[in-house]
Amino acid sequence: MAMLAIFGMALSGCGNQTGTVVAEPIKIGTILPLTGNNSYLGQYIREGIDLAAAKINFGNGINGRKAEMVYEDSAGDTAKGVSAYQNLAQTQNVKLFFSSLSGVTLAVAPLSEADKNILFNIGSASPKISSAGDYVFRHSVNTDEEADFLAQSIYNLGYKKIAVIVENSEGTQGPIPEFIKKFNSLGGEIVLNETHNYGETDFRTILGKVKQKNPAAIVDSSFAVSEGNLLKQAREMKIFTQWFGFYYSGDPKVLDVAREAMDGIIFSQFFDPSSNSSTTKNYQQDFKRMYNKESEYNSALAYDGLMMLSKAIGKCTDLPNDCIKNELYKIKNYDGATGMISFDSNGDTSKEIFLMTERGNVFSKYNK
Amino acid sequence: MFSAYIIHLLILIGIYMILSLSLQLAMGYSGLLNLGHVAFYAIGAYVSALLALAGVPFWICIILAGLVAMLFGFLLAIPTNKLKGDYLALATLGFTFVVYAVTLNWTDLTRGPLGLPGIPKPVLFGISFSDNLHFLFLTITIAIISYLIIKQIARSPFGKALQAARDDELAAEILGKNTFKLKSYSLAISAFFAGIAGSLYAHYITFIDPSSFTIMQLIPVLAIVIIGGLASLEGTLLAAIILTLIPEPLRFIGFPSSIIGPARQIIYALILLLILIFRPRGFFGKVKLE
Repeated sequence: MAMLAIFGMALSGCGNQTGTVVAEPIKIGTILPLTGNNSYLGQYIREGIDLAAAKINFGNGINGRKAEMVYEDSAGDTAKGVSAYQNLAQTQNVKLFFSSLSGVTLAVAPLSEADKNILFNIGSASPKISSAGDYVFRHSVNTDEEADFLAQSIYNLGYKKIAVIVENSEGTQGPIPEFIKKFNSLGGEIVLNETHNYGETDFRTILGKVKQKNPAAIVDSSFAVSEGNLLKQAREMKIFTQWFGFYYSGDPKVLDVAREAMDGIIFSQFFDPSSNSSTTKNYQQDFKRMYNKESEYNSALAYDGLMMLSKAIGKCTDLPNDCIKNELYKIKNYDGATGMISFDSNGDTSKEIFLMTERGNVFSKYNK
Repeated sequence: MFSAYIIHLLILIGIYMILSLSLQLAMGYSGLLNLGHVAFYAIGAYVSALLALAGVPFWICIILAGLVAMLFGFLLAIPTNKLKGDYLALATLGFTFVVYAVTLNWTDLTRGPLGLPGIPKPVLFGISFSDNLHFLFLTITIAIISYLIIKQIARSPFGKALQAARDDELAAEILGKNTFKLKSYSLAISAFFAGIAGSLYAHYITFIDPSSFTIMQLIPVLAIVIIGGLASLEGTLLAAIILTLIPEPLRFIGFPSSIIGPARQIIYALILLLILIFRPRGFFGKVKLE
């Protein structure tokens, strides 16, 4: 009954509260997977956003108004994501949104587009997000560019016959078609292309096949836990073939699972945690002060996202969303924790991609 | 201000009503503990989405969605004919995993994990349902029709025979009832409506992927049927409304961001537990599931 009473109260008024005249906070809706299989991703992103919000609010806020983050759980489910969006947009009058996961973003995008609300995606890979709408932004790495870069790098390092292991999920399948096309066009050969499903933990069958084919290198596009298990089991099966990965390999969770089996891995990445750039250094310092650990790429992306959004909002008085949208498109060479960011006409960015490696529990840039 | 939000919730309630009413027919009236229901929902959604993306008109999409799901209902009835209770539950659960694996791996057709974005909103008889209010009318109309049909089935001699077979299969057979026929019809009709619900879901959310149709999506539907009470259509309708709305007021409780997701789930689970403690047979349950 109490719940129904609260619901009734919510229906009757909360949405129309305009508050006091002095510095009403700017509400920013954040729809993340806070429970379920992808909740670790939601946590990474939340940490980055909370840090950015703390930083903004510690200063003068955005033109004197505080940024208030309103979190909603999508649990990775598209329908729940839409419910969360409708709740925030309609009852709490939120006009600015962050989202994570391709499925949820693609389901919410038509709604935010119709409402002319900004939807800022953090770290999803689906190419469809590029054309999801004028109000949809994303500043993660461009999947095809990363695929081309990694294919070229592997070929240049002298590995011509490779095996490809892919996790059957949206984000991990994303770069693979382009990667295979590019690698074949360079004259390389893919001797094996194996797929595994989300949630699997035993990869010995796949690794057995890889061992039989004896490729010069293994390229793996899997999420953190699967990749960690793959590396660990490959080492147990005495497979010492050079291992390559996509940017997911930069997730500390891979290292947590694989430990020393990860040593010597080479992967493409857009965020260097120990970069010399002063922005990244300051960011890492703040992150460490707040959470007592080093930031990985998802938190950094989320941090950059809110910082850029607040910058765009700051140029618009009274928050008309068209103005914020145009200001976001105008962002060129923004010096973020994840490098230089410029938006193109699709609301996408092109990021600098480089190779990284891991040895003795430390990630560093790879130099041949 | 609130309308779009409320309309969205009402549409979800409508879809859940169709889905749980049809499961009620299989579970409550026929005693088939069917965990494959979400697979029919998935089949309906995929059939409808693929046809619509190929340019087929909506009314054909939604009817074919129901019919194809129905066909699979028949197919599932054949191997599971001799199974009962937990065994049937496991076999039908297996069916859910098979359909999930097919949608995930038949990438040429379903785009696999990438899902199907941009499913068009329905257009019926020249009326566009792209507006959510219109879509709500469509959903409610279909939900009411489903309710009336399923109610009619439950009342009919066929429905009585189903319930007889549920309570005592042997006795029903002695009275000359072909229980296999009864059960397979029940499963097929139930699958038909699940397919219709899937079609509505696909056209409403406009994006589907295999993860939209896992066991996680079955649980709320199962909860609606059980909390509404077995073999009670009115209970199902009430439970569909209550269970869809319970999570909503929780959004207005200000939890700290670090525990917001889990805290809401705990409260939701507690409410369900309390309902079942005070009403062990659900709201208006007539029979107990063995």
